[in-house]
Amino acid sequence: MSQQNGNKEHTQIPTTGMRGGLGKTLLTAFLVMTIVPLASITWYATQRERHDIQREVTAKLSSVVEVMEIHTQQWIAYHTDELALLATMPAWQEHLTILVANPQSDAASRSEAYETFSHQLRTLIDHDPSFYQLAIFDDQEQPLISITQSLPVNPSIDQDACLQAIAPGTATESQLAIQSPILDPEDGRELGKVVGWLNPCYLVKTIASLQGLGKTGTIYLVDSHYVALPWGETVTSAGIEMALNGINTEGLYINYAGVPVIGIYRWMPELGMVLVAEQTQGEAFASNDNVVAAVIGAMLLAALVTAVIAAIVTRQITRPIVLLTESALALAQGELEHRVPMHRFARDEIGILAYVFNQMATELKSLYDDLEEKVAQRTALLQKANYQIQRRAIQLATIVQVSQAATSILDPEQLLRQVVHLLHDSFYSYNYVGIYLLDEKTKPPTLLHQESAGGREALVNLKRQPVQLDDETPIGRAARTGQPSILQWDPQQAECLFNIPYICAEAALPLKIGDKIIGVLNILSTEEGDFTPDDVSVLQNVANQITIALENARLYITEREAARRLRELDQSKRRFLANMSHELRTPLTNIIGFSRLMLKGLSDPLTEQQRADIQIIYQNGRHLLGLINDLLDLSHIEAGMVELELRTVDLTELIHSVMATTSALVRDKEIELIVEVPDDIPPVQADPVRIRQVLLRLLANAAKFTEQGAITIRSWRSDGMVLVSVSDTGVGISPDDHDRIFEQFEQGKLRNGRRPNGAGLGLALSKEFVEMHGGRIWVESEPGVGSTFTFSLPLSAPDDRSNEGK
Amino acid sequence: MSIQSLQPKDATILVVEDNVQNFVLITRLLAFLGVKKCEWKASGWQVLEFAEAMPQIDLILMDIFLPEEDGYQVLERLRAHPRFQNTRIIAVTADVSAENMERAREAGFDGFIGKPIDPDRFPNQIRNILQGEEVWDLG
Repeated sequence: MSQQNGNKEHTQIPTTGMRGGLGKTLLTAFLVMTIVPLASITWYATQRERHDIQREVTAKLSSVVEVMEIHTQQWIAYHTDELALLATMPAWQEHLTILVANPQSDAASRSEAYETFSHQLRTLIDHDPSFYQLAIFDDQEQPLISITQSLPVNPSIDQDACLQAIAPGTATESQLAIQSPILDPEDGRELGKVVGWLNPCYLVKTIASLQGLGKTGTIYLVDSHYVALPWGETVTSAGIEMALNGINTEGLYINYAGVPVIGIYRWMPELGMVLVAEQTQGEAFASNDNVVAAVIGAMLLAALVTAVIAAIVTRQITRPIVLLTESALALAQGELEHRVPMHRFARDEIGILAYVFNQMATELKSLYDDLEEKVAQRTALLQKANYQIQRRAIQLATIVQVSQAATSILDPEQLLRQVVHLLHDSFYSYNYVGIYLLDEKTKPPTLLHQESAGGREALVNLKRQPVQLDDETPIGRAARTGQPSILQWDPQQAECLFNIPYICAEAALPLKIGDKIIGVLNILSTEEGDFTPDDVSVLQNVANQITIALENARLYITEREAARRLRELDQSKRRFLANMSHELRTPLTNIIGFSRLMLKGLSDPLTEQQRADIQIIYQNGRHLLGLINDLLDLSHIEAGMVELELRTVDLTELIHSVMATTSALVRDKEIELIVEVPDDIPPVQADPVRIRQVLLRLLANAAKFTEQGAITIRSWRSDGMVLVSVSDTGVGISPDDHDRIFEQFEQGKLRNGRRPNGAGLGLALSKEFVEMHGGRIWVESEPGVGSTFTFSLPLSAPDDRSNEGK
Repeated sequence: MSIQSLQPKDATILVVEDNVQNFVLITRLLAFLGVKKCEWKASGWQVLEFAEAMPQIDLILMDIFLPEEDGYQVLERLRAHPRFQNTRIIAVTADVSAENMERAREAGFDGFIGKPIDPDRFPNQIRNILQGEEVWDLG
């Protein structure tokens, strides 16, 4: 409510009633309604009255002034006429002539004229107190006679002060100096003039007799020297100022004494003075002021009355509203039972409001109650959903834990034990968890109980029984069909069977890989409606994990077995070869040894025939040794047991070193040995022993198959490889045999068709050795012309074939 | 190890060899070389005791494949004995391969001669050994 008294905090109870906004508003309205029109009307009226008063006063003053003016004018005019008339007196003309125009007049006549003049002037002045002074001037503006008034105009008037105004004597400029020329009767020439100064005090007397000024009205004259008549003091004020400047003005002024007046300021040219008529505003507006005061008083009274009325009315209005407000507040604060007491309300709009308010409160309460109920319902739903979520979370966490166990435990027994306990502990409703594995060995295959967690003794004993695939239990079904099997139990029946109360559901999930079923996961739950499709999919997931883990464990064991057997095999191969090597070489030592002994003459002397025969034995022995060596080498290579001992080998040196042996081979034949091996062949990483073997083999072959001609060894570098070739001018090899000769036990044919000595292992072995280095060996040959065997060795280290023997 | 070079005629050699004919061959060759004193042990059994009983041994030629204890075991025993720590012991064996030769070297043999023995080279090999050279020959 914006009308409420300004409260900034929400917790503060808004004010009501008179302190409150409504009361204040009403009061303000009433007051305003009462006072404002009254005040404005009064204001208007008083202003107009003042205006009128001012006009009236001004008019009055004005008329007074006019009277004064007229009077003054008349006074001056009368006396002007009087003097003018006197100036025409022949006696005066005569006298003046004597005094002025006639220089030869005697003194007696002069003094007589003088005296007469004076007496007459004196008579005039006594006669007319308006004149203060009379004087006769000659034609040179020189005063001849001057007579001054002796009577005061009025004892109460300060004559001296007044007279200062006219500055008599020679000052004829004063407006109050009336002049009238005296003319010579004969020629009309001016003889002189008579001047009469009017006594301004006379005016003062007149002023004083004026009526219509009211109590405070004054009328006075101010001359050009700012002297005021009748007081004789200097005065000034704005109005006076203006009038002295020739501007007649009237209106509201401050007078010379600082009093606000209504004043008229009139310049009187005849007098040369300002006529001022003033009446104090106080007096003028007195009545008006009274009225205003009265009205103000009345207004205050009215305000008071209004306030009281307003209070009463407000109370009348606001009390019901306050009641309503208080009820609304109570409602807002949660007291939904609160109702407005209808009997306190009139049958008006507020009454209707109160009635409606009660309706609303009732409605609100019922809605609220409804809402509470709904909230309770919703909360229950939410709790249930929450429980479900938590359950799901636990399920998922369990899956993770199971998979962790699956990957970390390799012993199947331990794994199963861990898993059943995990499931049993994670879900409080899983009272019993067990696992069966299918035993293929029994006919028919049976599910054997492996591990379980939970349950009581009777149950466990029951569950330990093997299960046949055609059982109608969930376990049997699951194993048979490969699908999860769920059974909802009646708790009482279940209790009879399992000896555990509250069993509501049983689940059997197959452990299977692809289509092969290896076991069943069995769970008993105490929760009604357990094993929803969601639950089942989660549990099946767990089952799958278990299956995978079991398979892994099995595989692991199998692999270990296989590895072990392989190692054993390897070892037995090695042993065999070692034994073979030994068994073959030992007798050969004797054959070669003793035959050689005899040939060297370390035994008894030999006949030629004996020598020849024993030579055969020796040679065959050596041949046999060669075969055995080759055979064993090949076997070693095939068994993967040969390692190359890589060294930096200088081929040039190696080739040169086999030349000695080679020359022995061709000793009894007409064969030239040519070596074309440059010195700049880069060294290779190779097993020198093996390469030497290869070289020797190729050279021996060349020697064997060539009767005459030349055997050339070449070596060159090409493309990151070093190539070595052995060329001969022997029987050659037909293109069909080019590849075949590198196979084991294959040989070429000699020219005479005979098969040469040698089992035919040499080239095969050479091929193996070269290829172990990462090189190639091949032959180019033309039957009847010769053959060239070439092999390559890479400059960088050979590939990992060298590690095959590990 | 530095042993003064010996002449074959001054050397006493122990041959540990289980094949009789091999032994005869070796002996015949040694005799050709000029060796006068030659002893024979036909198995790995109690070789140490036998050797201890001999007043002087300058060279032991030992087969690896022996009955009872093999050449490596015998070598170990001999080397453990202060008298034979530095005695020349050469493996004379049909167990011919680079690995075996290396193994023999690491085990503590002072040389290796592969079987079959080359009668042409064997006398020189022995001579060289007696003069302090090491012979590592696969044969």
